[in-house]
Amino acid sequence: MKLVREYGLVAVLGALIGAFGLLSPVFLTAENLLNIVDQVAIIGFVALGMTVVILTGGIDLSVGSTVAFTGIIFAESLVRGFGLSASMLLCVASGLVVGALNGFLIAHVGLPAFIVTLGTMGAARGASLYITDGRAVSGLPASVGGLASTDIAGLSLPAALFLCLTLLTWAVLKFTYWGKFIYAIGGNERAAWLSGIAVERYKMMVYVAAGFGCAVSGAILVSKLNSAQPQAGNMYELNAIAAVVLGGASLAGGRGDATGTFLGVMILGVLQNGFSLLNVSSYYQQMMLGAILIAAVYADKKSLRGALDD
Amino acid sequence: MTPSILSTQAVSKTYGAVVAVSNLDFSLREGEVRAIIGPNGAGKSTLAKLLYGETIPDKGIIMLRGHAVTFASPADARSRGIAMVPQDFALVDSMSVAENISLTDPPSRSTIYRSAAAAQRARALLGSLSRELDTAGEVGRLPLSDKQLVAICRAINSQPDVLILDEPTSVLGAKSLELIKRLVRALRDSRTSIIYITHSIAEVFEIADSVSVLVDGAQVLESAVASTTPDGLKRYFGSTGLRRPLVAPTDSGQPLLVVQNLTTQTVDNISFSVNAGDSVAVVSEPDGDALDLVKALFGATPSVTGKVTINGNALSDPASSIANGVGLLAADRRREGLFGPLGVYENVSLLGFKDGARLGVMRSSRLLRRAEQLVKDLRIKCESLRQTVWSLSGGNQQKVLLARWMIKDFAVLLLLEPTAGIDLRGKAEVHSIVSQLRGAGKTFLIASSDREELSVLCNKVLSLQNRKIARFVTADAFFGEQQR
Repeated sequence: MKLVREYGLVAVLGALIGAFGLLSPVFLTAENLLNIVDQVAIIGFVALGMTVVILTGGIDLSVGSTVAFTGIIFAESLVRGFGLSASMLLCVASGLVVGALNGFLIAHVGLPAFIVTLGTMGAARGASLYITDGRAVSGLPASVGGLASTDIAGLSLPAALFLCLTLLTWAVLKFTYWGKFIYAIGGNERAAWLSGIAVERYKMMVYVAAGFGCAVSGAILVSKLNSAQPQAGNMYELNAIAAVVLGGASLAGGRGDATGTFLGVMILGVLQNGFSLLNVSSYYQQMMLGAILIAAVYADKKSLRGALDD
Repeated sequence: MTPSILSTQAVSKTYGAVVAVSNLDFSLREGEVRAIIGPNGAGKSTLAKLLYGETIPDKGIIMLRGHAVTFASPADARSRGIAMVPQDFALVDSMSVAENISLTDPPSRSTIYRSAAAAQRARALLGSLSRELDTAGEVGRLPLSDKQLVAICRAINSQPDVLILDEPTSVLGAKSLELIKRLVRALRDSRTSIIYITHSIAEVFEIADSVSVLVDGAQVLESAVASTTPDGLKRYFGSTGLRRPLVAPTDSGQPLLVVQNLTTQTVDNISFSVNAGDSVAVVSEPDGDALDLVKALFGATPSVTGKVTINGNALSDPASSIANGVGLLAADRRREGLFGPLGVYENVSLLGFKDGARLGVMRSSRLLRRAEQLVKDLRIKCESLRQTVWSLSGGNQQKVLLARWMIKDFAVLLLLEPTAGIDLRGKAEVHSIVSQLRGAGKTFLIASSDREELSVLCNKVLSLQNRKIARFVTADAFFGEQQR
């Protein structure tokens, strides 16, 4: 079942690449393909965090705002002369704090994830606008802009980092008991608690991981744009959830994995890149994205029906 | 001969690779009470779902009063006079008793909900089954037995021609039996036909006029109850009835699990101790109290005061109980036991994942070997260790849960309804597993609505009454007296 799904995703990805290759002469160049991996990385970091959250049966709607917020913290720290390493640390720390706040309210206070992260989605966006007074933070040191274009074995830093984090997430979910417990909590939270799993701790952990992904994404985005925008990361929650669900995860929890999410992210990236090369409007692309999300959930429901019936 | 009201002709239904019902001919006559019996996975529940429009057959036809019909949905089936009480009752917990009962058939045709009329209707239906309930009370707060009652009232509220009861005794055991008997008596006059799905051969003889035996999705016997015997039915289950297990419990005289001044939602300030090697049956009237007490020992219920210790270590929540070698087999497989979307491997090995792990990395090959061995030893039928547990039959699911508590060396196992909803063969297998574990020196506390099972498995009985311990005696003394 799972194999069928993954082969299916690879086939879809292959078909899309083939189709765009026929339609656009530029698409199949090595440069463009590497460019796609580089472009999707920013959503990729967020989607990997979203994967572990969704595996527990949760959801994180605050990711887009957190990307903006952590980016602002990164840029503000740089502007105030903290230096690159210290600013990065502050950026990551701010992501972890937002994640920990979400995790605390959801796991320990017991509030619904949807409401909590809807709240922090608004709050983090508000904080970003408040800190910057609604304006972009620019005038960053030149070293920051170079960061995103650093070459690592032929890949850009974002692309290489995305591949590494995908591998790490995959390994943690597959080979560690932390991963197994995350699946177990999503599969049946009460049974997990009755099996002695520290449910609260693991639920906390996944939201912190999501916050970490947002911080990485926020920093890379700042580096790419050479500035921080308080409106950055708009609709990233939609993109990330779409990628995760497209990758075969169930919003009920307990099903999904990092390779699926990677393929989901790539499919969305290829679509976006291909449509852009073909001059399809970005408004139209966003409509497509919504439709793809719903179609992916529908396909998931169809494939599950037999199993749930009996 | 009375005409057939509901029948199937050569009906088949497959789920993936699993043939649930195969070429089935089944016919129910007007006013008949028909028991459907068969081993786990025989297709009983699938037949019920087909007749109630929850799913449609791949092949064959369903006939209602001599005409071929296709039920598009349960609502469609209801409108044509079929009603069902599903195993899990399917009630809306946040709504009142009256609202639940009148949910699908409101007291008036207008869109305005008439609460007074609904309450009156609910009281009348409850009264016909000799029970009074606060019709404005929330269903979620009711004990299971009353939930079942509400579910039954909702089904008969539409005055169906055919009422399907899907294993009504699987959740509440013998307690439901009295209710079902009252129901059957109440419906007898209205010529309502009843399909009664069960695992229990004894119930067939208490309730039904006729019986159908299903094996592997086909009907292998249709007979009047009067012209068959329990032994005649038993042979279709491929196993004999309960036997006293090979290894008897051995009371070592050494207290192991000590309970001091325990107060929970159902007991007040009770103290007792269980010796190593004991198998203690916990019984109560109603059964729910015994289940609740055992759960409380494990630290799985809220607002508990008092002390539960094993070797001097306190058990305060599931994690501390497990750390101290106490395991709990939950009664509600779906809600409290199984990780549905996960594989057999994960479900069996969960408690072992942490053992010997370094930096979180599990010792997978050892875990896999252990899981494979358990699956083999317990004869769990699955295609592979990766098969999701929600696609297993009830008996195999139960064995998966037992295997979970065998992955590590637990000193005490608390079993809640260890064989509810599984067939005779599965029951015998579970009992033999318990017997083997006892040979390994394990201590058991068992709460079950199946008294025969308790008499076979246990050497002591702790009975609760009025929130106190009524008696704590040997099983021979307890069950011996009951028989007299």
